[in-house]
Amino acid sequence: MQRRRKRRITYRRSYRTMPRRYRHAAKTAAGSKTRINTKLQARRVPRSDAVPAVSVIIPAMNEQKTIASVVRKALRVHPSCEVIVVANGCRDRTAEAAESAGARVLRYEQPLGHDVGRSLGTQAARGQVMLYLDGDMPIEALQLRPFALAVLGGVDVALNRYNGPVRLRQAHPVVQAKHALNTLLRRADLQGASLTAVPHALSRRSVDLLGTECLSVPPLALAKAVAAGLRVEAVHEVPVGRLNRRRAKVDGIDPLQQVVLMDHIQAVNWYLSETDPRGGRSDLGRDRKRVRR
Amino acid sequence: MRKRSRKSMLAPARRKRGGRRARQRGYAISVRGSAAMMPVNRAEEGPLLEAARQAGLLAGACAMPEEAEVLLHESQLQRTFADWCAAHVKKRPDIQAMLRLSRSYTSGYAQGSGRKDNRIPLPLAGSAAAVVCASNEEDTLGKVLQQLERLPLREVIVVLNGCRDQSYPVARKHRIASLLHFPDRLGHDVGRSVGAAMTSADTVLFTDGDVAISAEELAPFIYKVDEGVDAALNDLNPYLPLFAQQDEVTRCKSFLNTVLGHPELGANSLTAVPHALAGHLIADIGIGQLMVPPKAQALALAKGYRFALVKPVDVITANRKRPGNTGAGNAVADLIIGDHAEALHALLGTGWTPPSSAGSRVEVALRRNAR
Repeated sequence: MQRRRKRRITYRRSYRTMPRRYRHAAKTAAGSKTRINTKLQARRVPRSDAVPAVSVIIPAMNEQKTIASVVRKALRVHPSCEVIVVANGCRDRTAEAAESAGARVLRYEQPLGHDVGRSLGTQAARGQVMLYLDGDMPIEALQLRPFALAVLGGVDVALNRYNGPVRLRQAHPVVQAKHALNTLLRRADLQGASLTAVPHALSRRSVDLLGTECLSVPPLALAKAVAAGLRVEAVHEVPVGRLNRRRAKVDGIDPLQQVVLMDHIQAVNWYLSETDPRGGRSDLGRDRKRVRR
Repeated sequence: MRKRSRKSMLAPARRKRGGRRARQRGYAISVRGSAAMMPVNRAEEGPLLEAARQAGLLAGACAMPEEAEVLLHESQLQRTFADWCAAHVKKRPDIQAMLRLSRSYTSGYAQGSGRKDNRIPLPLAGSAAAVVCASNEEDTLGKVLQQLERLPLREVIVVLNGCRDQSYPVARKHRIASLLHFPDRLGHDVGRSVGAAMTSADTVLFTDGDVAISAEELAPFIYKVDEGVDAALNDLNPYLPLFAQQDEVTRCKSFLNTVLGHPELGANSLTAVPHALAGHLIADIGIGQLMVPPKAQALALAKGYRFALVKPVDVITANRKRPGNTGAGNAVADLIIGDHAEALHALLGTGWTPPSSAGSRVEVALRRNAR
């Protein structure tokens, strides 16, 4: 009886409605007369000597099926763009596929672990904007440009405004963690936006300030960015939840869930050690000495 | 015709809470609906209720005239009902069945003694006490204590702080109340610590002086902890909106429970009243922790104490609206978020490790992306 309605991915804010300041800044920063509204032409073979404006960093482990598509789409993000694929622990042709699609490939024999590739890719990046993607998730360049343009326009950390599935009574643990971390950081306005989710972009300034090391633990990097007073904004929504590949589970739980939860706890711990045990919140005059221990 | 049949097919599915849709929405977190597991069979209950009434009638007939002056926990009503339960009720029934038994016993007792009686005797294994925190609650405090007097509590500790009104004389009228009076405000929930320090009961019920909750609704908390659970929380999950509409405080509460490996507790927390704690739990985590409720909860859950949810008491709509506790980013919300930060800080300070560890990043990557 119930007809299955085919769901279409809708984007809340299209590229055309980008705030003018980003568009303007993007034009000046790129120094080109390109009309932003038209589809940008990718330069298949980037000039290796020129310093690119945007560095796209893509950690990949055994993603030969999708990586070429991801790289090709990433190359269209900006006229001056380099794509760095951090191929780690690959037993398939991921590196070759990425290279032939036009990426610079950093090869690592051993698996680096989740998100560690981001740190190493960032060390090799030369652009003013670091855009982070996943090797298993091809996202159209149109949906990636807002992140790069926001950073070119002065944002330090441009996050995906995707909150995850929140139309539930009890949300997924990771969704809860993201919201709770932002709340503790006094950035409840970010809702569930997080560095854990791709795509997101960082400015050169924020990378220099945070260091490449902490990018391996994305929530920690977010906490540090907020604490350092960097401009953190959720700029555009790409509903990556639907694009995520289904994975094997252990006892009904994706093992990554625990890693991401622990990352958030680490971030909270760091933030509380930086501020005070109450995260700088008021105690409303509790008379704590009244109680005998 | 077709229209109608479609409607009839779809309507029940939509209404039913136990459906697939409902489970997806997270209704599964509610643990209500324990009627199916009731130890006392409904069919057997009728005669048992009648037997309870008869026993009550008999006990009431030989009641002492000064009975009305005694507190319930040492009254003949409580004593005879406990004895009768021990002799006639084989399996411990759930609280609703027990309340029915109690009510019919009391009605018999009232008839026998010829005095009105609406008290609720309960067969408890240990002693029970209540801690009531009040600050300028003269309007409701009397009603709160009136309800508490109907329960077999050994003592009720009323922590009056910063009262500028008639709260003190109001509380004095109730014999069950032991008063602790502080001229200045102690601060949020500090009264719980102060009050809990004054009692050594096996079960301590915590409630506030600003909402009058009926004894029937409070009894499940005491009964649950008396049963052997370490903490009984007010199950506010059914009142929650969808996650997207939840406020920051609720999200923090859910997160803390999730981190501790108890997602089934939902957004329930010791922050909400009423709740009951076992005396040994309070002694173990330290009385001083009770003033930061999320911290007490985190420490207790980390130590493996068992928490249970009982039938919800709607304290949200009854909560008095004050200038400080309404609107987003209000002072009380700020305080509670700070409490959760403190809880996480304390938790990580005790060298706590998560209940199930998935292994290092590399191991997880290998498991997920290996070929």
